Amino acid sequence: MAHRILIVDDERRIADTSALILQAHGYQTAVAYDAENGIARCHEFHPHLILTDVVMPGMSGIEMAVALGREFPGCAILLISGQAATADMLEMARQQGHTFELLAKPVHPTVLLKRVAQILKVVDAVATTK
Amino acid sequence: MSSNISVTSPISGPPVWNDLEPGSHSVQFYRKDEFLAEEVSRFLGSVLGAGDAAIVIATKAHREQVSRLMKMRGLDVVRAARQGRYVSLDAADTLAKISTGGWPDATRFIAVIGEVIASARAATLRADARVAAFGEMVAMLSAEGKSEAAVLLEHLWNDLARIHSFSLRCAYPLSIFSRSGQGSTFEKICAAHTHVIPSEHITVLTSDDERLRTISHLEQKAEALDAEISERKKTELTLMRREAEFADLLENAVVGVQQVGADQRILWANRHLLGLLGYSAGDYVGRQLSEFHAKREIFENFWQRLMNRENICDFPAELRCKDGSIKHVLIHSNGLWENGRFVRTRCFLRDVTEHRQMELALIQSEKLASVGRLAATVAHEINNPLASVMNLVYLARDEAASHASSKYLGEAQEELERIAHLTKQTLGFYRSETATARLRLSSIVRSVAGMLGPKLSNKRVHLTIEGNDDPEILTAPGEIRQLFSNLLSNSLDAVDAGGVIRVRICQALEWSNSGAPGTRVSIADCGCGIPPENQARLFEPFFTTKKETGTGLGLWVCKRIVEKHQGTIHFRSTTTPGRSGTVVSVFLPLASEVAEASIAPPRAA
Repeated sequence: MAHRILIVDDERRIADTSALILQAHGYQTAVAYDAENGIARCHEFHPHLILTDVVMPGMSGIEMAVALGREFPGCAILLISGQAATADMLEMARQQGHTFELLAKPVHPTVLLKRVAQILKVVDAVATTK
Repeated sequence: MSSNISVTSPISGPPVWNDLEPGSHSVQFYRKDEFLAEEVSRFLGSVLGAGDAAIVIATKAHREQVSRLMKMRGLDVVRAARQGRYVSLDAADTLAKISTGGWPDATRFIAVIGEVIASARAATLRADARVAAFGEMVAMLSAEGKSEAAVLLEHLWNDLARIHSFSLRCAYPLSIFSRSGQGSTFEKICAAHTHVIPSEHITVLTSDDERLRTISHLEQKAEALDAEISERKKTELTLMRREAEFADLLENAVVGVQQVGADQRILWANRHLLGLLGYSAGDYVGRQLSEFHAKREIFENFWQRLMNRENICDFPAELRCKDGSIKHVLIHSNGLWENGRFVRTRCFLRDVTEHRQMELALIQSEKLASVGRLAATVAHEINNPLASVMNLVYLARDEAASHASSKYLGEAQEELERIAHLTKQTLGFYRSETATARLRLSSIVRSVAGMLGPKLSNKRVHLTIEGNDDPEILTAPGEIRQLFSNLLSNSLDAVDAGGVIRVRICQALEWSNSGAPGTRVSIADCGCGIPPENQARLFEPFFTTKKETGTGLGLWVCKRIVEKHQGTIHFRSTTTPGRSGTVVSVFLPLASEVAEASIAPPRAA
C-alpha cells in the first residue's frame, strides 16, 4: 500500500510540483493551498505524512500542525519554510509541548525524498508496535 | 599781585578802567576785534593826547585799526610817531627778536623792549613822562598753543616793570580759552596781571544791577557747564568701557567674526576665526577675501548677494586654511550701507567641517545599510520561486527526451542549489522583528548548534559549549538565532576538517563604558584567522572572502542585531601559522531598548 502524503502550501506551483515529484516516487498525494483546506483534506485523505508551509494567509502551518497533531497522533508533520519568523513560532510551539521538524526552503527534491522516506519508516515502525 | 585798580562806576555808561598808573599791568579779554581796537585806542589815546609816550606791539590789522581810531579822535598820530612818542611795532617781528629756540629770552627781552620804552620816554623830552604800552605777543604765543611761553613772557613784562616805569595792557581773544583744559592757563595769565578787564559782554553793562544779574547768570551757566562736562565725561567713560567690552566680546566669541571692506579686503578678524584657519592676524588681515575661498564661484555668488543688499544666512562656503586643508563654514553676513554706498560687510562664520564629515559618513553608511536591507529582503523573496523552479527542473529532468537535455537540466539544478545556498547561508532567519522574548543565550546557542549538527559531523568538527548559568535576557529571538547561526557558520567555514570550535557563555559586565550586566558569548576557533587588512572591513555589507558562497551580509547582519540589542561585538584574530584562529566575543546587556518593544507572540503574516 502506497503512503499517503498531504501537501499544504499557498504557493500553488510549489505544492503541485512537490506532489508530482512524490507521485513519481510512488506516493499517493493530496494538495491544499491553505491551512483550513488542509485540515478538511486531512479528514478525507488520512495522510501518513503532512508537508506544510509555515507562513500562509490565514491560519499558519504550525497552528494547523498543532490542531492535526492532536486529532491524528499517528500522522507525521514536516514543516518547510523560507521565512525568518518561522524559528520563533517553532520555538513557541516547542514550549507548548509540540516539537516539529523544519526544513528551510528551498529544499532540493532529492533531500526532500530522502527525508520523507526516513520519516515514513518511523511512522510505519510506530504503527506496527501499536 | 595785589590789585590797585579803581573802577569808577558812573550812574550810567561803561566803566572807566584807571589802569594808567606806572607799574599797572592789566589784561583785556575780548571777543571782537572792533571792541579791542576801541579799548586800546582809548587807553593809548589818553596818554598820547597828554603829550606822553605810547607803544603798540600788535598785528598789522590791529595797529592800523588803533591808529585810525586815534586819528578819528583828533590825535596827530603821524606827528607823535615822527617825534618818537608813538611807537608801533609788529608783534610777530618783535617776538622773533626777543626769542631763542621758540621761547622768550629774558636778556633779549629786557634789552629790546627796555630800549623801546627808554627811547619813547626820551622822545617826550620830559623825564617824568608816562609810558603806556599795549602788547599782543603773549596772545600770539597762546594762539599757537604755547601757553607756557605766554605765561613766561607775562612774567618778563613784570620783571621789566621793576627797571622801567610804564603801564602795560595785554589782550587775549576769549576764543583761545574755549578749549577744555585751558582753565589753568587762564588762571595763570590772570595771576600775572594787576588788573583783569573782562570782555565787551561785561564792560558794556552800565549798572551794578545788570552786572550782578549777569554774574548770577554766568555762575549758573558755569555750574550747568561743569555738570554737563562731568556728565559727558561719565558718558564718555561708559562708552569707552562698553566699546572695550564689545571688542572683547567679539574678539573672544566662539564664532568667527570679520569685517571686509568695499574693496574685498579683510579689515579685521577675531581670534576664533584666525585660530580656525590657522593664520596670524598679519597673514590674514589686509588680504583679499577671495584668496581664502576655495571655490571661486561660491565666493562670487556670496559677494554678488551682498551687493544686492541681501541678508545672507547659513551660506555654505569652503575656506582654505594655512596648512592647505579646507574648512566648511556657514556664513551669516550683511553689508553696511551709508548714503547708498557699500561701506563694509560684517561676517559671522560657523565651522561645520566635523558635522559635514559626519554627515557624509552617515550618508555613506546609510546607503550601504539600505542596500544590505534590500539584499536581505530580496534573498527571502527569492526562496519561494526558487523552490518552484527547483521542483520544475527536477521534474523536467525525469521527463528529459535526450541524454543531453538531461545533462543540461542537471547542471541547471546545481546552479539553483548555489542560489539556494546563498540565500540560506546568512539570512535564513533574519528579518527585522519587534517581538521579544525572555530567554537564555545558552539555550539559543545550543539550539543553533543542534541545527548545525549535520554540517559539523560532515566536517568532523568538534564543538564544545561551556556554561549554562547565564541570566535570561529580553531579546528578539529570531534575530539572536540568526546572530549565532552566522557566527557559528563562519567558525565552521574557517576551521579545517577535524578542527575544534569552543563556545563559552557566561554572566558578565560590559567592559568598555557602562559596566552594565549581561551575558557574554565567546566563540573560538582554530581556523586560518583573519588577515589584519580584512579586520577593519569585517562588518561592511558585501565584504566577503568567500567568493563562491558568501553574500558579504552575514557579519553586517550580526553587527546590526547586536547594536539593536545595545550590545557589543569584537574580534580577536591571528594568522600566525601554528596558532592561528579567531575569537569573536558578543556581549548583550540584560536590559536594552529591545525590552521596551512589545512582548506579544509573533503573528504569521
